[in-house]
Amino acid sequence: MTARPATGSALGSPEPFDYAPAHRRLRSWLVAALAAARSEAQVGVQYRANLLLWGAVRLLQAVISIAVWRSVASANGGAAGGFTANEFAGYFLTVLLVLELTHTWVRGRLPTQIRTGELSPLLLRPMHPLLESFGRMGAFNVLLTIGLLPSIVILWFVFDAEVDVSAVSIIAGIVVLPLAAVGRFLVDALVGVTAFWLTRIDALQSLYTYASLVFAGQFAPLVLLPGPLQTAAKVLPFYWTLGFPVELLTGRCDLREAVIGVAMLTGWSAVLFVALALAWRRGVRAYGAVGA
Amino acid sequence: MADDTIIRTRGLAKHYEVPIREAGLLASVRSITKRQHRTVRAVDGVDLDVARGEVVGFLGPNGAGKTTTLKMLSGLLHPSAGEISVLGHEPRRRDRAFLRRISLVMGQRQQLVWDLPAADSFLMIRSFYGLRHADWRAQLDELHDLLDLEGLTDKPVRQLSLGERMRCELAAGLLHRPELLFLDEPTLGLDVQSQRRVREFIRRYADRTGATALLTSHYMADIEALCERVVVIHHGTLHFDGSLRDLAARVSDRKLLAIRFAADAPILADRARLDRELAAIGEVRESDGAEYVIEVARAEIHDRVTQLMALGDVVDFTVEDEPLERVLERAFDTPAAELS
Amino acid sequence: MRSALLEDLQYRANFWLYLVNALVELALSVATLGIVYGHVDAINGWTRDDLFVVLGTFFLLQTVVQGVVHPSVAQLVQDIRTGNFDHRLLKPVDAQLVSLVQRVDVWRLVGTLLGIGLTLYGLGHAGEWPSLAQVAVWALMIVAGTTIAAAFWSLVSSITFWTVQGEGILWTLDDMYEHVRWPLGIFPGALKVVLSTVFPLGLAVTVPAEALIGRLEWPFALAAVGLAVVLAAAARGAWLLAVRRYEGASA
Repeated sequence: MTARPATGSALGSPEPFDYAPAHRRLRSWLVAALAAARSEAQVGVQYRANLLLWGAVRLLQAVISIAVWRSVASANGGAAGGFTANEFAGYFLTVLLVLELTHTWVRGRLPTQIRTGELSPLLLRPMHPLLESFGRMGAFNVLLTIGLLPSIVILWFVFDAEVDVSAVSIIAGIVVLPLAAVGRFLVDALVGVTAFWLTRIDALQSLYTYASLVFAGQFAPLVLLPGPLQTAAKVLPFYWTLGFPVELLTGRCDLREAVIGVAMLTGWSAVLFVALALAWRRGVRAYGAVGA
Repeated sequence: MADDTIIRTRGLAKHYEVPIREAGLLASVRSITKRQHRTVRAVDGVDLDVARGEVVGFLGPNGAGKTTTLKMLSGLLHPSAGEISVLGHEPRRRDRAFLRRISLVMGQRQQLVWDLPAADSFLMIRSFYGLRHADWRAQLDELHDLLDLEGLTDKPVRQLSLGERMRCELAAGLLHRPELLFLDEPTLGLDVQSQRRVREFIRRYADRTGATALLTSHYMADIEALCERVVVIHHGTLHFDGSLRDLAARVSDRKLLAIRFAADAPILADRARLDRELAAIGEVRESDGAEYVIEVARAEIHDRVTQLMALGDVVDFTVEDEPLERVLERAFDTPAAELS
Repeated sequence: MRSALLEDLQYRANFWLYLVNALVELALSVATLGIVYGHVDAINGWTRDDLFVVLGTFFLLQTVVQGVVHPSVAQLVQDIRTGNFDHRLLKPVDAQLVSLVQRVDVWRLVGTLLGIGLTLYGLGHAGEWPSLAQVAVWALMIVAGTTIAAAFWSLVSSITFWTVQGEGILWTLDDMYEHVRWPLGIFPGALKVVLSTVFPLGLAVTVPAEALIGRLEWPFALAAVGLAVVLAAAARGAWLLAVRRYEGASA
C-alpha cells in the first residue's frame, strides 16, 4: 500500500505539462479544429473513389433539377416564376456550390459514434467532439468543392447558365457563406444528438432530408412554391442556410432582403446554438447514465 | 497519507434499467407498445482509496463491474449513487483540467484515426491537448523508445497488427503525459510476445514517471507483473483489497504436489493400485505417463508427502501453489466477509 | 432470415418512425409533383398521373434496395472488416446471394404498400387501366429493374473488397437512388440517352412504369433487359475476383 517514489528520469516529473491560459483558449480551439481539418483532408484523399462517386451524385442531382425545370420553363413559354431556362441552370449550379461548401455529415456520424461507443474516448479529450466534427467537415468541403469545380464550370457552359451577379452580391455571399455553414451544421447536429435518446434515427434523418429539400430551396427556387409552403420556408431555418445565400450570390436579393436574411440566419444560429448546447449536455448525461 | 490519496470513492454505485422481453416473434410485436424493465446493479457500493504512484489491478469475472468502475472514475459514466473524487475533481464534469491529467486506454480503435498513419494522429492530439511542441516532441521520442514504435507510425493504422496497433494506441493515450492511467484490458487479444511488451512498457512507464495506474486484465500474468495491490470486484461489490500474496494466502488452503516416477517403477506396472493409492492421498489433477499432479490440503502436506514417497522410485518432486486463476475462482466464490 | 427479422422487431421505435417516414415521403412526392405541375400540365408529354406511376415503381424498388440490399451489403462490409466474412465463405450456400439478402429491414417493407398505392392512384386518376399484356411486361421489367439495382449494389460492394472505401459508398448509392424519381422520358433526347447509360438506376425505375402507361419504347426495354444481364454477369465476375483476392490476402 506504499506509494512508489517518483524516480527522476528522462520522462521527467509526473507533473502535467503547462497549458495555454484561458484567454488563449479560442486560439487553441482554432488550432485544434484546423488539426482535425488537416486529418480529415488526409483521410479524404485516401477515400477518393468514394469522393468521386459522391461528387458524381451531386452533379447528377444538379443536372436532373436543371433538366426538369428547363422543361417546365419551355413548356410554360420560356420562363417559370421569373426564371428563364438559363437562369434555372445558374440557380441550381450555385445551389450545388453552396451545398458542397456547407455540407455536413454530423447527423450521420454522431449516431454511429454514440451507438458503437466511439464517442467515449472523444469525450475524454479536452476538445469538444462537435468542434472536431466541424473542423473535419470544413476540410472535406473545401476538398470536394475544389474537385467539383471543373465539372461545375463545364456544366455552366453546357447549360448556358445565367446569373445576375455583381461585386456586391459576391462579397455579400462570401460573408454569408461561413454563417450558412455554421447554421446548417447546427441544424444537422441537433438532428444527430437525438441519437442519445433514440436507438436508430434513420427515419428522423430522412424526414430532415426531405424537409430541407423542399424548404431550403434545393428542389425548386422558393418563389415557385405554393404560398403557404413559401411562408413556412421563411419561418423555418432551412431556407436561410441554403436558398438565401444562393439568391444572394445570384443577385436575386435587394438590400432589404439581404439584411433580413443575415438577421434571420444569425438569429436562427443563436437559437440553434443554445438548443444544441442544452441538448448536448443532457444527451451526454443520458449517454453516461446508460453505459458509455 | 491522506494528502496523497488521489482517488477516493464512498458507496460508489451504478444501476442500469434494462428492458426485459420474452423470446419469440409474438413477444417482439407486443413489445412495440409495451416494455418492462428491471434493475441491474453493475456496481453496488464500492469504497476505494488509491494513493499517488500506486499500480492497482482490478480483478473479477466478466460483468463483475470492473470496466464500469473504471468508466465512472474517468468520467464517462455517471454514478447512480455515492461519492467520487479523482485528482480533486468530480470526474463526471469532465473539466478540461481533469481530462489533461488522466488517460483511459480501452483496447483498440480509440484515439487513432483508422485510415491515417499514427504519426498524423499524434500531431492532431498535440493540438487537441494544446501541448507545447518541445514537450510533445520529448514525450513522443521517449514513448517511441519505450514502445519500440520504429517503422510503425508511418503506415495507416488499419495496416498494423493488433499488437502494433495497441502500442501506438498506448502512445497516443500517453502523449499528454497523464499522471493517472486507466487501462481497460490493455493486453486483450494480443499474442504472448505483444502482451509481454505492453506489460513491460506499463511497468517501466509507471516506474519512470511515478504515474498512478488502474488496470483490469484477464491475464493473470499482467496482474502478477504489474500490481502490488489487487482489488477483487464481484457482483458489483468489493470482495478483497490488498496484496496478491495476501489474497492467495486467504483463499487458497491447497497445495499441488507434482511427482514423477522412474520409468521402470514397479508401481507403474499396477495401474489399479496406483490409482487407488493416489486417490487416497488427494485429488489427481493431471496425469501423464509417469507424471502426476495431486492437489492436497495445505495443513496435511507433511503426511501426504510421506505417503507419496512411500510409493517408491520417485525421480522428481515439487510442491507448488495453486495457479492464480484457481485462486481467483475461489476468491470469487468466497463471500466478501471471509476475505477481508 | 427469421433471426434478422426478430432483431429488427426489437427496434420498436423504428416501426412508428418508418410509418411516419413513409407518410412524409408520400407527402414530399405529392408536394414536389404539385410544385412542378402547378406551372405546367405536361413535360415532354408526361402528365402528373404518369409521374405517380413512376413514383410507384420508385417506391417498390426502393423497398428492395433499402429494405434488403443495403442492410445486407452494409453487414457484408462490416463482416469483412471484423473477419466474420470467413464464416460466410464456409457456409454451404452461395455467399454472394447471402450477402445480398442476409438482412431485412422489415419496417421498410411498408414502402411496398406505398408503391402499389401510388401506382393504382396514378392509373386510376388517369382512368386508363393497362391491359393484361402490359401488366405482364411491367412484371418482367420490375424483375429487370430489381436485378439492375441489386447487381449494381453488389458490384459496388465487391469494389469495397479491393479498395477500403467502406460503408460511406453505400450511403452515397442510397443518395443516388433518391434522384430517380423522375422518368428518363421527361429529359430531352441527348440527355435521356446519356443518363440511361451512366445511370442504370434511372432506367430500372423508368421502364416498368412506361410499360404500365403504354409508352414503353422497345429499344429502352431491350436495353433494360440487356443491362440487367450484363450487370448481373459483371457483379458475379467482380464478386469471384474479390473473393479470390480476399482469400489470397488473408491466407
